[in-house]
Amino acid sequence: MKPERLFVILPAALVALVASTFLLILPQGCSTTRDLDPAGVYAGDRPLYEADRAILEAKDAFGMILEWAARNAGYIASDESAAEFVASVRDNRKQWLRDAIAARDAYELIRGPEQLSTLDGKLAILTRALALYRTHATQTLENAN
Amino acid sequence: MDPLQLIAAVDAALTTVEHLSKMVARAKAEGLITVEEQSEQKARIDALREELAD
Repeated sequence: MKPERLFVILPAALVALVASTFLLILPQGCSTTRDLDPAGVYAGDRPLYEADRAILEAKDAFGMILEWAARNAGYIASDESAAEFVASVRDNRKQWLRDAIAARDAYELIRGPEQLSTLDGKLAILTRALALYRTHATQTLENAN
Repeated sequence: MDPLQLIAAVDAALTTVEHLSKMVARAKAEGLITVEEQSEQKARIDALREELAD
């Protein structure tokens, strides 16, 4: 995959994660995006729908980050922080996703503000990882030019 | 209010109204997130949960 293509896909994942964070905070109905059909499995629960969307986007993005790392081994080897970042994604991505899913499951069960806050925190971890990727990917592109 | 200020204020209001109108039209055109779309996403989350449990 070309780096330029990653720049199209990964910002979408970031946007989904950041948007989900805002949607967890805002009262339902504030979003200007499409509404949920209340007959669906989410029963109109927008925060839960957005959290799931964000988790799935992050999962796909982590796969792409590892692919990017394999294609840019030279840059990764030359930059200690990039190497640490990639190692962190490789080692922790499954646990980050497990934690996010556990938090969404807890929210689905009780749907209280405390569970929502925990879920928000877990999604923020995913957001930080993707934002860090963007920094490194930008550096890779600059080095290539 | 001088005429120029009035025109600027009207322009600003028009821009706002046009923007809101477009947003409403887009929301109507896009419709609801369907039952099928929701089920598909939920199925992917359930599959990911199982995958991570392995």
